[in-house]
Amino acid sequence: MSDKEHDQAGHGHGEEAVYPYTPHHFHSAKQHLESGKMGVWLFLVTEILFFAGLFCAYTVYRSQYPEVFYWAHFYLDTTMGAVNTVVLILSSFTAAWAVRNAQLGQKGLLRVNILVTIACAMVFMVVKYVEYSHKFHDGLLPAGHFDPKHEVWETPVFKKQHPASAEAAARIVAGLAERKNKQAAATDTVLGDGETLALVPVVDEPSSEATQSPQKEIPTQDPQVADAEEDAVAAELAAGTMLGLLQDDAAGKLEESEEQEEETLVAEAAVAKKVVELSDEAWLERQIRSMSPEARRPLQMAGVIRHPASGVFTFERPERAGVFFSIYFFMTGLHGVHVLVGIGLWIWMLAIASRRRLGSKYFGPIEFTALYWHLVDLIWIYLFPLLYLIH
Amino acid sequence: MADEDKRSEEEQLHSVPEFGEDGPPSDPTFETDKPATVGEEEGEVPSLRDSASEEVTLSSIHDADTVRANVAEIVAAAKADSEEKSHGHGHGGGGHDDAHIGHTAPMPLLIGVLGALILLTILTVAVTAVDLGSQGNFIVAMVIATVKAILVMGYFMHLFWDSRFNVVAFCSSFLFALLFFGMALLDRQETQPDIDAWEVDQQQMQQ
Repeated sequence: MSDKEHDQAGHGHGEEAVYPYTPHHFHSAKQHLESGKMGVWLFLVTEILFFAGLFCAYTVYRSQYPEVFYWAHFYLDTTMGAVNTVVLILSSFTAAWAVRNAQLGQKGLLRVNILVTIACAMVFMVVKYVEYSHKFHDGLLPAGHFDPKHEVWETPVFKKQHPASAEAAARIVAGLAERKNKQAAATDTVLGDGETLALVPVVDEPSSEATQSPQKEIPTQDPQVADAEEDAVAAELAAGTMLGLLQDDAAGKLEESEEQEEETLVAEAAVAKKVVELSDEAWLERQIRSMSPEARRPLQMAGVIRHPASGVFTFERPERAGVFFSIYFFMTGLHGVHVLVGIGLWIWMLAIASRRRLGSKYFGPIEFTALYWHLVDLIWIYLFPLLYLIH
Repeated sequence: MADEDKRSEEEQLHSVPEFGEDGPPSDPTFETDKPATVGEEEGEVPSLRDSASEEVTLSSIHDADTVRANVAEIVAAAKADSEEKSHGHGHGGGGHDDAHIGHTAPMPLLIGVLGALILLTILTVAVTAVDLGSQGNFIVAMVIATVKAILVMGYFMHLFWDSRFNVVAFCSSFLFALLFFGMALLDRQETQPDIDAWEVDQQQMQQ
């Protein structure tokens, strides 16, 4: 008799199930829900450990190379990150509300809340797309393809927060580029009887300005030759020895031919002003030391200005700068994939909300999808300060 | 007659009646033209009950098993009756708690948590303007993020009202993640000098 009752009690095996129903292997609807919830929570535990791997990579790298993270955070837009956070929190709220709707059998409102959740998720993906396209455009790609078009002091965020620093950095870089140009051009120059200058120490910037006027009088084709002549004069002034004339550790140079002695008198006055022959490194060190501390500090923290104990000052992007973007793209990309999966799940829930009868005894699907969605929100709540709010 | 029997048996077997004398409040979700469960008809249940009530009198107990079977049927029938408009099975056992199988979060609470989360987000961004040292900012950001996480987990994910197992599972995942981080950082400290030496070698080889 109990068997007959059992069969007639509407299981829906293989037939159209009549919701809400409890499958026969559960002894109550409550147990049905609780076991489903436990399963989802165990899945969420695996998801947390999934992301823990990436958070671990972040932790290890940030503890070892903090300057890379400080340097890279100027490239990220905090406003967009905050907008994404608020959007996801809103979607979490509508998801929780949807669970309440399902529990109370409020079908229409349930559908609206699911749609709003999907809409928020799509807004999140659009903002993420905009951010990513900016980065690809600027050459900020994962390490290996990392080739930024703008240096960190050229980013709007850096310029806004540290204007003095940005200016100083731009000046230094321009100076370095100028020196490199002069050097490159000068090494191609052939002087006198075909003698080639092996190395021409480049003249310091302030002094080159001072010697502009006499150089104009000298009928030379390119100013680099004039510089070379100036150096020759300086060499003779300093007793003409190969090494004695150098103020710092610049490389030696060959003595000039005697043809240039005529220009000596013209240039002498200018040379009397400081004609400092500096190597690149020395010039750079001077520039860096002449910066104000407040201008220097951000660049130091970003690892742009580096001064290892044994070596010389360097002024360039920190090493492994691309690694930050590897981590950034991997973490936010994986999170974005989870958001996409969540959108798919919510669309499925829309179908379930129409086809099945959800109510106080049967609301599992919505509850489980909402749990997954809250986890996606949770992960973003942690990602946002770690990636966007570095200081 | 059958109704009186039914009620007295109900009172005997159900220490706390689930619903009042009127039965469960009508839930529009569960209204249907079809009978409550496939195949079951109104008439069948009373007949079972009638036959069962005839047998279960103290004077006519034949053996414990029959009594048990009959009692189970009566309970099932009574439950099916009380859930006339629902699709419940009415099997014996843990059917009592079917009425509240999940806590429903009150609306003001949900809105309150939403407000708190948005405020905390604004706070997180605002705090970055204050310089608390390299470690201080990080710790403050993590603390605020954890508060937000607890709000989401406790209220939105119902952890405050759920069985403890879910809480234990979730917290243990964080513990294992911490273990993961700890070992990785320890290992990094150990091996970083080797990495640095290798890098120096690489640079020297290129030069």
